[in-house]
Amino acid sequence: MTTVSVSPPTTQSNMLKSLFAILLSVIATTGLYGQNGNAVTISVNATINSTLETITIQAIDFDEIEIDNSVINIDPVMSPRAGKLVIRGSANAEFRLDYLRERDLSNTDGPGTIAFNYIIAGNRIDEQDTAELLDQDVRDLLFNEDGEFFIWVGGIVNLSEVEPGSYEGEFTVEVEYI
Amino acid sequence: MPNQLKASLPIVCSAVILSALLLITPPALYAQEIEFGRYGTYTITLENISMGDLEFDGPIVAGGGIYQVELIDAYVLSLLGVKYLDVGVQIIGDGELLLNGNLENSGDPEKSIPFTLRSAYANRAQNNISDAVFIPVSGTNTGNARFPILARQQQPPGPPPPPPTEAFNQSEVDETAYLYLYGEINVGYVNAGNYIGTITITVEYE
Repeated sequence: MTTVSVSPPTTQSNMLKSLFAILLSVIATTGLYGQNGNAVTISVNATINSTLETITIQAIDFDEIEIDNSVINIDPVMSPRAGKLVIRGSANAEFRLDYLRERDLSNTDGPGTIAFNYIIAGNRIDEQDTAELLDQDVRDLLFNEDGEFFIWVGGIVNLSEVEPGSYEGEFTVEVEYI
Repeated sequence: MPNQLKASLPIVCSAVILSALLLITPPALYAQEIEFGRYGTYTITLENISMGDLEFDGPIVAGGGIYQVELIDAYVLSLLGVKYLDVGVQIIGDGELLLNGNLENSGDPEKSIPFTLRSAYANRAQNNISDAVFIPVSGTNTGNARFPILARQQQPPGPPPPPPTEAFNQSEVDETAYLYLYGEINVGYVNAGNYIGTITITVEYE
């Protein structure tokens, strides 16, 4: 009969095993470092627009204008009497143009007003006869490469029931970036 | 009594050697963790999901003050890796956007815009900002985070992962986490033009 005795590990052998494990860990730390990583760089952008400016180049010219059946009609595309504005902003930026189509002109010599119906045309180049009629109150438009947009201002006014006098008024256009 | 002394002597010697080894062991061995990701050939892939750049949309005008890119509009990157491993993410952003990206404009109040970076991650396998966990970003626009590719969802950690052998197919245990980059700029009375900065994101298993 053979007897096999199995004795529990001693405290001493446990200690040696721990020591061996720690030594293995040290070797592993120095020899098997196999980390994988990745990096990406992205850009952050912001475009700062130039301050908007509206510059009047020329007022509407009524001097000795021809009156046809008490109606004055200034074509913003064809008439050299049309007023002219240039709007300045950031090159190629989009902007919204908003204007009041009808404004009253006031008699500076006494009572009375005239209803003036503005008609405007716009162009990215400084060329009146190719300008596009802007027949909506609000339009989204683009500045040209130089940050400019040209506006010609004409309109229609009926003088049939108007008191004699000198009349003045304003054309108001609002511009904002979009 | 002499016999007892003889028996205990080897144990004392081992304890002395062990203590000496512990003193010269690298500090990492004191941490009660095993960084399995460091010892394998696991891959990790960081990719842009958003197209283009982190863009502050206009119209932005000089002197306009604070403009923000909110979390909902954040720039998104995907992070594909082994779902049960932790990744360390480091995000370093420029502190200012410079006119035309020209470094000579740094610090020029008319040609630079202060930029505050913000970031977050989502690790619930979905590109969903409602899962976003904010990553603290310092005043120098540096952020660090460590998280598992797939959130452990309050379960105890599983067994150690199998080592990557030839039979190991990582795609079977891959998952995607998401990083979100956003922030704000404070626009003073600067010159008009394009202001540019960069953010560098580095990821690695930890």
